[in-house]
Amino acid sequence: MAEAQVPALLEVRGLRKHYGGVKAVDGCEFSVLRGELIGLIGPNGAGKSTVIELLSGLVKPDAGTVTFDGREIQGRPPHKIFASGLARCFQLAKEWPLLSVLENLLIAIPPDGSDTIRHAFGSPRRSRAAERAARERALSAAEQYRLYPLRNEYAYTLSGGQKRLLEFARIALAQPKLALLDEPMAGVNPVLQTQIEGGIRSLLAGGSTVILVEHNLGFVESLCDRVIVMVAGRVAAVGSMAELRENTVVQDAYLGGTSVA
Amino acid sequence: MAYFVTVGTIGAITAILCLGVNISWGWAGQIDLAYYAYVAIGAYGAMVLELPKAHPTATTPSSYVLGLHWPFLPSLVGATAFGGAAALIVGAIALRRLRGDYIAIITACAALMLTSVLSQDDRLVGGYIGIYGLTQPLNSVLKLGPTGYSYFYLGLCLVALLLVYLVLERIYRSPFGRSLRAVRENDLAAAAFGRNLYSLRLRAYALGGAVGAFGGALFANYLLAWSPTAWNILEVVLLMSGVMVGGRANSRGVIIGSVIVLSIIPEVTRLFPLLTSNSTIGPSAAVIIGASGIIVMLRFRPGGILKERKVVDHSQTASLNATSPTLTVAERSNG
Repeated sequence: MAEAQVPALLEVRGLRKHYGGVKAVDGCEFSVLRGELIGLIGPNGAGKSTVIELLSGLVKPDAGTVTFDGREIQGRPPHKIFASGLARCFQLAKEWPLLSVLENLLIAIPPDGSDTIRHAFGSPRRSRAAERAARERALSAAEQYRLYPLRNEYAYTLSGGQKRLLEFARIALAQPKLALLDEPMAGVNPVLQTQIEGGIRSLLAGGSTVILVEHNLGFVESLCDRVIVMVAGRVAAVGSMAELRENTVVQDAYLGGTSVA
Repeated sequence: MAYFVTVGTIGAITAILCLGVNISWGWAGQIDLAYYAYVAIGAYGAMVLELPKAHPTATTPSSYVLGLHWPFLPSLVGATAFGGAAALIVGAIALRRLRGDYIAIITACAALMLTSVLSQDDRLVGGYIGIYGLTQPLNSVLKLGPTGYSYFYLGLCLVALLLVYLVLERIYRSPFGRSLRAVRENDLAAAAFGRNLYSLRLRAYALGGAVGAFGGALFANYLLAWSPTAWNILEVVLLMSGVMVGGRANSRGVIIGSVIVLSIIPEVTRLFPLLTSNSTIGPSAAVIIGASGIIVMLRFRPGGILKERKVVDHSQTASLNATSPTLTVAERSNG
């Protein structure tokens, strides 16, 4: 096939993570192409979130390799993985409660070495300009995600939906090569869902590649060309939603027998 | 009047020490029980840098290392660097893999080890006897009398407090301070957004140690002597209670808390024996009132007198660079 010639942005081989007797991820293999929006679905406990944790470096894998943008990143610390261009959002919004909304957004912009004690004093003009530019970007992201009026509020005062928007806005500001979105629309009302959907599309338009973990198959179908189905810690099938509906393994494990969700 | 000058001088130094504790505890969220060891390192450090070479005799048996006979100000800088370096070493061990309570335990161990070594080995900093014999700093130039000099040193300590306050406020609002607070608020999320947790925590810890040593150096230059009896691990708890009452992570609150808990309460209770026939009631009353105050604070105002302040952006529009960025800090209104 022609696409096999293009080097994948992300290549996961034999990824494994066991917690005691629980095989959370057990020999997971898949690859993601540059510029792709790929869905990651599967029943609860299939290991989707663990894969996100392993890819982002917050949890170290027991075995396997993760090749991202030509370099092996498995077992590297999370801040280095972020620096190499892989950012993730959390299934449960993890805002920094006692930082203002604007500060939450500013943290998402890579500091490029300006967050040192020395830079707090007589910082070179270059780094002050960088801070100003970061601030402008953060404020316009706040505007885009309806957080501008709340920019000076503590993040803990936001509603659940607003926290999801903040979570997503942080990813957008990080401008990653690969964004791992762990159920970004969970518990979000339809208006905000549309907003986040638009956000995902503009991530793609900006050149990012996206892995979307999502339970709402309607969304997955409308957004993703390719979908990975995980069952019991491994990849059970890969294909378009239409193909997967015909796949009996997927039907049994996830879609509920022959009736289509 | 001399009484108030003494209380004011020690109060200013104590407030500096509280500001230092506030860095690792208030900003980064770690309990650092070794803090007073850095204060002691600063005190001893300033003395061994300022004093001439030790010549132990029968009348002055104290012996110590270095004895470089440096002037006051370079010694102050040197002592501050000693404290920062010591904190860097302890922090490199304590902060690499450990979290929360375990950091407290390791730092307590470090402080106890240092106490043992410095008090047992009398070649380092005079052992149990400690070091004494410092002359009043800068007075060889100023040539002030005892009263005039005490005013001068009070002024010096207040200027130092102001300086430490301004420096720390600036760091608090800088990208470094922001990253550090994000680490405190949610370390996993901060790591996922590219923050090196270990490096940030370690830098904050070393900064705290340096501030502690700076305060210790000022203290030693005030007392003109320092010995192991002047410091122990409980002092950290006292400093922390000042921070807690004043407001963690709020520098102004920390200074207020320090003055109330560590200056006003002990000094007021010192007068109690005049009211009763019990001559030893003072220190006990200070502990009882101080501890009750902390419990009342925790119940009714857990954030302290002044809560952590929010960094507020005052620009009007998000578009273009028409407005110059003015980031200021505002009081948290309630909650």
